[in-house]
Amino acid sequence: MDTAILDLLADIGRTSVARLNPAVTLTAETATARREQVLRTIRGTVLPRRLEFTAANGDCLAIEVNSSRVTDVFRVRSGLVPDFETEARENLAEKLAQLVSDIAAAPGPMVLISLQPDIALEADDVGITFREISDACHSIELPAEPVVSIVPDHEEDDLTDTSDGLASQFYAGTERFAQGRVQINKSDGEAIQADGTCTPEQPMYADSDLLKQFAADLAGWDKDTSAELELPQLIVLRPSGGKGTALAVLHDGSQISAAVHEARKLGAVVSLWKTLTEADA
Amino acid sequence: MSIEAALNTAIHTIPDCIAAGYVDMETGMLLGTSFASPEDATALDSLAIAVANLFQGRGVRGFEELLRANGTEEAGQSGFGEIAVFSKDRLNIFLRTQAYPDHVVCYTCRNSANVGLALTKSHLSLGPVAAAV
Repeated sequence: MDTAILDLLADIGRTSVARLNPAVTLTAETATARREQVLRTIRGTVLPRRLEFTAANGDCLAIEVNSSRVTDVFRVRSGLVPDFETEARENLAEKLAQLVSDIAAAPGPMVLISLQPDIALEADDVGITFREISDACHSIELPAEPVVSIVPDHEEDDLTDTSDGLASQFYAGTERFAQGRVQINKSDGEAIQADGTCTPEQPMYADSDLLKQFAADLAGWDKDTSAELELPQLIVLRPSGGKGTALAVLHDGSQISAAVHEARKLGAVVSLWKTLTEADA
Repeated sequence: MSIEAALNTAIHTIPDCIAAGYVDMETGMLLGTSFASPEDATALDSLAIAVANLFQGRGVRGFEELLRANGTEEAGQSGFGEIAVFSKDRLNIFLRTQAYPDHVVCYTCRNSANVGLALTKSHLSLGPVAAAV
């Protein structure tokens, strides 16, 4: 055997490191490069796999891929999941290209987990080819990379000193993904406003007693953690396993906004939190 | 493997994780810890009591009941199993163990942590940590 091949194999053996978990970090630094990595991953997936791309802010795109074709979408960064049963092929390709571009535009680094599909593929799950998605991506411009400027340090701002109230902004911002939402006063648990499933006679309506108890729980939490954790805080309560319905609570020191949402929309919650706190800082 | 060793292993796999603790909510006490600085140890003590009160608070349980009554919980789940707390400079993750629902594993990460990765790796570490009890 060629000694060069033996040397190559010896090098591989010497430098190989066992992976301790299924997560792989995609280290591309720009949105364009991240999109290329996502497309390359789709192209390189031959056997049926469920691929989950998770951005640094928690946004996630979960797709089923087989023979370099996307055959289903399970989780998207925001908005509706494309319907492979009813939508036209060209529309699906455009939507998949948009989803791939959206996740690439989210903050890096991105993490990829490749899992066994939950169910066996149907014979007619032909999917949308890598080439169709890649072609559709050409017409989607990615946001320019932010220019990072180094500025002198300022004294740390007290984030609780917001005139417009982070809880109010959070309440407004959760409209696009929350099933129901309610805003209450921290001091007495009185409801200020409510919407969706949190309104009277709706399934997630919390009466005044429950809201007062919840405000009291958070007051106790504040007291216990005042030396360790600063306000504002985002507290996300999720079911075990991350499936089902979750509760996202923003607590700014004077008011509390709670949004009932699908647990899989954590990425949207975290993204909103980062947007609000970065704008407020 | 001891709880401390399991927590220490978890800290090294979770991004930007600086401290970990294993909390018994029945008593609000830490059964095991792993941390780098004494400040983190003090913080874990406070968080152990705080998270026990929060998970078991009447308001939080009331919302769990609402979800349960409306069938929006997955079958076989017992309320909120995970709390993630984002603050100015920290991400704290609290996970109930399946084997012992009154036990919670707490991870403290720097705010710079990749949230998705931190949650994923926290979940992956839960089994070995719970097995060490």
